[in-house]
Amino acid sequence: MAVDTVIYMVGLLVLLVLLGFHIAVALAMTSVLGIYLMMGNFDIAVHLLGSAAYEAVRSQTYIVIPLFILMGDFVSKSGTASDLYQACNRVLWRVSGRLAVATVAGNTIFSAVTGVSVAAAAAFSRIAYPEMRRLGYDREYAVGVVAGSACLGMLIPPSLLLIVWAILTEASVGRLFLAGVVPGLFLAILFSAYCIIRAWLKPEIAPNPPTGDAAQPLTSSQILGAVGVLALVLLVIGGLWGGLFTPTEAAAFGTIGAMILGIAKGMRHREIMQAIYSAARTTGPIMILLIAATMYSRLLAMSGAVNFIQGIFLDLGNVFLIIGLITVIWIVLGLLIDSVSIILLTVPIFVPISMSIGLDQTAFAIFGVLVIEAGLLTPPFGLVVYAVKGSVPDREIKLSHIFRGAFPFCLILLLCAFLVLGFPQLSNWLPDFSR
Amino acid sequence: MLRGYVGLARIIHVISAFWILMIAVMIIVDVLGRAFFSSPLQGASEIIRNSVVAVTFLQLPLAILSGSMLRTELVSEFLPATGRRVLRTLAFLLGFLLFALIVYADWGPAMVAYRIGEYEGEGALRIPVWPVHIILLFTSVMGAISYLVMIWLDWTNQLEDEIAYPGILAFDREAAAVMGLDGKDSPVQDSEERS
Repeated sequence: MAVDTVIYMVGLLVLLVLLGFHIAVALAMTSVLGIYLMMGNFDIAVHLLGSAAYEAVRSQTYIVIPLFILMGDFVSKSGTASDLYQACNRVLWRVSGRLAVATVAGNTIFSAVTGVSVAAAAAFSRIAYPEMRRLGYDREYAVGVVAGSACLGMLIPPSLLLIVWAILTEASVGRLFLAGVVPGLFLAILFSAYCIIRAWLKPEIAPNPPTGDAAQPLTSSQILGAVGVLALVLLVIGGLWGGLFTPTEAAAFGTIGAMILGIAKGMRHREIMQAIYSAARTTGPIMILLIAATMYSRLLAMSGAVNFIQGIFLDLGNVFLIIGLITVIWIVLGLLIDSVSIILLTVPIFVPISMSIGLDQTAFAIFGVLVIEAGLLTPPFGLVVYAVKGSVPDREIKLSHIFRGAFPFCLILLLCAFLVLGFPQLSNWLPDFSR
Repeated sequence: MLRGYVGLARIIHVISAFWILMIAVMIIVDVLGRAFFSSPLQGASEIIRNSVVAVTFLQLPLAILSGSMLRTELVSEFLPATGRRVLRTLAFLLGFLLFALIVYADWGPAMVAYRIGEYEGEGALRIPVWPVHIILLFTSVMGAISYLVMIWLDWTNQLEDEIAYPGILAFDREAAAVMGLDGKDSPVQDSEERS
């Protein structure tokens, strides 16, 4: 009976979400309704809602979310992404498809100071895309690189998805952060390899620049920007890895460090206010989702629905079938809703399943984030793709160009995901090593 | 009247943003204090815990008004204008109901916390928790009102971007605004003038 109620409520939830209701509202209200139907007592349901609103995010861990978002916005606003891109460009001067590889490299470093893919996608659409087109790069190739490599942001710490995952599964945020580093670098290498091989096989899509083109020396402001970002990366990831900081402390130092770097790079009152303002607009909706998700996981826990769904999955018998089904569900959800919502909806159900089939939990988290990221590159919702579309200074770019260009990156993401699951050492090595 | 209300939502939003910055400074002072002077900041962790709740709720009214709440518009895109509007109205009504319920649910605990002077922490530094309850109640009332305002704006054709609003395009604008390259006057300046 209780399980039936939950199944109906999840069905209603999916319907409301598809109809465009605010996801947090749909999540909270269907959970309240479900608890009411199950308990037959309205006061209990409302009481649980009240305590979720007040207690759910009332913990020191949650402050990392606003802090890391603010840090990312300071870095984005400071214009250092462009400095990084130029610096990578200089270093890589004779590689085929140099500008594409520089985009991947720049994104790798940039993503170590931001937690969301959208910021990187917007930044590199403005910076890297016009450069690539100027040298006659193929449109789909160029835009695909920008969209694909933005996905590194969700894997390389600080990553919003990994924070949310850690909170939901009561894992250590620091451990998941470190677990994302090696797979992130590995993914960056795969992306670069793809760019080089494509450019090498079909030189006309990425013509080499005339000699001497890359020889413009970096200005001192560009060097300051690039070195400053590297210093921030060292401070945040090094501090976590060396056990110097907890994630909360790393976030605080990173935020203030990013603000100082921004001011050194010429950010003034207006830009600082823009960063603070835009960070707050991203944070609120995510935090209310977390509160709503608390209600939802209470509903799941009270009804025993998790065991029921787990039973359905485990009845499949075959581990590969179970993993395959989980992957398909994530990718389909990736077509519909954003990645944080996907994690909130599915992780409370999928993590117990993955435990009972004996998967390494750290590797499963990285696997999950990679698969969900792949969903961000697929039509029709693909948030990253829309961010690129909105920021690319080229009116002729259509969504289909971006989806086609990003498709190989989507496949590489999935490949990397299964490699991480097959070889858990990829994600476990760094966190184990730091102890 | 409406402008004033949105202005208030912006002001509390900006307060919340600066609050986060203050927390960052506080954590750093705490860490440095422990490392170099063996004296941690008293009550820092209690303040942070309670601040997360306050900061979150202070951001919500503007998040609702500016269409930043996460949603998908997959189905609504295929509907005629009236269908979309009816759906949005239902969605906003449910949002109103949620915040109204939160107010109803937290009213009792908030009154108790105020009456008995409930606090957190021990020893010399006690953090009273009623201000957090008050902020939660106040912003939830604003959240509920904001959803009603959205319905009114919708039926009087005052939503900025009818089809995509508040959805994917809002993300695009946000992404563009992050880079300060959207060419429009950023909402920041509004809030600066108001605050």
